[in-house]
Amino acid sequence: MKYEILAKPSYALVCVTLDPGEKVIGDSGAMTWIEGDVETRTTTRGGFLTGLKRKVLSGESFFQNTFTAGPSGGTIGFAPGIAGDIVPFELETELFLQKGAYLASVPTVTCDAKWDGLRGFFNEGLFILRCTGQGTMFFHSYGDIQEIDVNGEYLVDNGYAVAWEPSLEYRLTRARRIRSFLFSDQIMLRFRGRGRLWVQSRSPHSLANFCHPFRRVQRRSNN
Amino acid sequence: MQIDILERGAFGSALVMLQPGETFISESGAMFRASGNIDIDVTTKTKGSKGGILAGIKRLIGGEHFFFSTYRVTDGQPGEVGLAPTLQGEVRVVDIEPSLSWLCAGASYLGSTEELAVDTQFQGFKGMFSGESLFFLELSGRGQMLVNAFGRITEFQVDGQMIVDTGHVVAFDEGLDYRVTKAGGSWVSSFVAGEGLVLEFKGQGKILVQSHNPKEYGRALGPLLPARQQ
Repeated sequence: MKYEILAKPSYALVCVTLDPGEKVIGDSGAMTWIEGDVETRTTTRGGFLTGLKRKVLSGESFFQNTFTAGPSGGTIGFAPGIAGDIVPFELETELFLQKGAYLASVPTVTCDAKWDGLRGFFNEGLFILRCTGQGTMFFHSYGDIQEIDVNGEYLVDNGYAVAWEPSLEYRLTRARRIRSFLFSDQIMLRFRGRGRLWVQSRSPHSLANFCHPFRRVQRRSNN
Repeated sequence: MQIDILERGAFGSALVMLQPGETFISESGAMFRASGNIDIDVTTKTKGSKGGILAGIKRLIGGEHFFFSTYRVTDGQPGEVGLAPTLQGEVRVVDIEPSLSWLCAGASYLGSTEELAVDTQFQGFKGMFSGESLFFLELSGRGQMLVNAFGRITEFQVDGQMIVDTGHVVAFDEGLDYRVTKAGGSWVSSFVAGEGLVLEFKGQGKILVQSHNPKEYGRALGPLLPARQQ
């Protein structure tokens, strides 16, 4: 399998070239084009419960598509729903992803929801994605993705951590002084250990908050 | 202190390297990454400016945050802070000299070095009535200011006169006099034409203009979203 990432980082799209018989998995809705001899199968990958868990708990799709190349091979384009960056990663054992960050991978990579503890309540959700196995995978986010080599401690604003290696542990923290927590709503993730961390430079939540005041106002019907 | 602009496509951001004893100030909530030794605090005033609660309230009326965030290192080691705006677009550094202050549109201010005084300036009632609340931050002293823009920034060296739509002004230096005025011939035609208010600049100086207007973006998206309850 070969790949190329086009239009990085603002409107990234990954184009995967399959040799005959090779397979690639894409998140539902991520497929942009198929060129050549490729068969698509939609399954829950791991059964109904796994699919349900993935969908309900970690914001990924219930169904995932398996693309299998026929005798003459083919190419497939995958793009996320929101403009931003895509990072290719050679998975060796395990990687944690923020909810919704998975885009595509080889079939030897599996993706599962992981209970993130109550700290997840303040973060993106109570569950994160745990990817295990070996091979190439792709994750994405809104905005630009920046890789940080953490050795010691690193702070990331709530909702901006895209992926991190399992050698890093994190906890929720607030700015050291209580007033900065109260007045500037800085709940942060404090990563600790040694490993790589990927952060995004824009937040879809902030964008939604920006748009909110521009929505029409519905008057209550009992007026 | 060193500021790196991470200029990557549509999503610009800034990485500020702090040495022990240095402080950087930003708009509240602009930080998205920081090394573990960074201490984050809030303040209502900057060096040499009229600070306090009144300054915070003025900023609130102008649609900004009551507080600024401040960053410094705690352990005697260098540290870093990453800052980014909400919308996509460019981030740029402006060098400011004591002899020439700069005015920055409230929504375009991202951060500044601690030596710069940051004050709020209101543009009077014209701005208030038009619904385009016009207020500028005035930055004076010696240091660097970070501005963000929605879209691309174009820099103009004005000598004479220039007109810029209020929603597109990022920042300009005080070598320029400006007044708020209407774009068209009469107030009515100006509003009907959708151009509302413009800023008319006179003199000599620099202006940074952003290619897109955040309010127009909001107005294009807002009606497509489900209505909100009052």
